[in-house]
Amino acid sequence: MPLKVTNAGEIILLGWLMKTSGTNLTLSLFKNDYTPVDNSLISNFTESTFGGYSNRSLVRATWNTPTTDAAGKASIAYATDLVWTATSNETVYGYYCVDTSGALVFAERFAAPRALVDGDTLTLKPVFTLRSEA
Amino acid sequence: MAIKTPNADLLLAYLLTGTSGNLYLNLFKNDFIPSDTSLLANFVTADFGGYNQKTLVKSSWSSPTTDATGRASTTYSGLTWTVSTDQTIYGLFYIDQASGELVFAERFSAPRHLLDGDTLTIFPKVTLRSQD
Repeated sequence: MPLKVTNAGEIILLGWLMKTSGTNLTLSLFKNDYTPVDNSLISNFTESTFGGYSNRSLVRATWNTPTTDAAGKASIAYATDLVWTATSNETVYGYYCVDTSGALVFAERFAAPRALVDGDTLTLKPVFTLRSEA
Repeated sequence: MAIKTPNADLLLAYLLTGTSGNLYLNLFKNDFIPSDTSLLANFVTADFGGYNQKTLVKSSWSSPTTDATGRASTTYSGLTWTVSTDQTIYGLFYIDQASGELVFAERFSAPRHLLDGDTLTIFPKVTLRSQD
C-alpha cells in the first residue's frame, strides 16, 4: 500500500519544505490491524511490544541524497536498514513516524502482515517519495 | 494549471535532509508549458519595463493549513509589478537562491497581456498532499 502522509503530517512537511528545517523522526511498528488514511491519528496505532522491539530514530543526516526516476518521482532512502530480532511472537502490520513534538507525520501498512516468530528478524528500509501533482 | 516540480529531489532534500532557503520568483514570457522534466533553459524571463526578479524569504511563508479535502497549503504575500512596456506573460518559475536550480514552475490558466500602466499581482501558493 502507498505510504500515507496524514493531514497533520502534510502541514509539518510543508512547513519543513517552505518555512523551517525539519526534525528527526521516530519510527515505530504497529501491531493492530489498521490501514492508515489521510486523517489518521496517533491514537489509531498500537505500538509493537514484541521482545527485542524498540522504536528507532531516523536522523536527518542519515538519509541518502534524493534521486529522481524516469517518471519524475523523487525518492529518498534511509541509508541504514532498520533491523529487529524478535524474541517473542507478534504480528506487525506496518509502521508510523512521528516528529520530535510527537505529531504523526506519515504511516505505511505493509503489503502483507508480518507474523514474527521468536528468532525472526524484520528488516525495514524506509523510503519516502515525492512527485508533482498531475 | 497545476504547479510542477521539475527537481522534486531537491524538495525531498529540503524535507528530510537539509534546510531550504529563499527562492527567486521570475515570470516567463515564452509560450511554454512546464512539466516534470522542464529545465531552467526552457524559460525566457520577462523583461517588460518595471520587471524585476522577486525574492521569496523563507520565513515569510504563511503557517501551512489543511483544507477539507486534506490538502495542505502555504501562501506568500502578493507580489506586484507595475508595467511600463507591453508584454505577454505565460507563467512563473521559482529558483533556489542557493543553488540556482529550478524548483517550481506554473503556467497561468490564460496568458496575461500586460500593457503600459497595468499592474500584475501574484499570490504564491504551494500545496502538498499524500499520494492516493
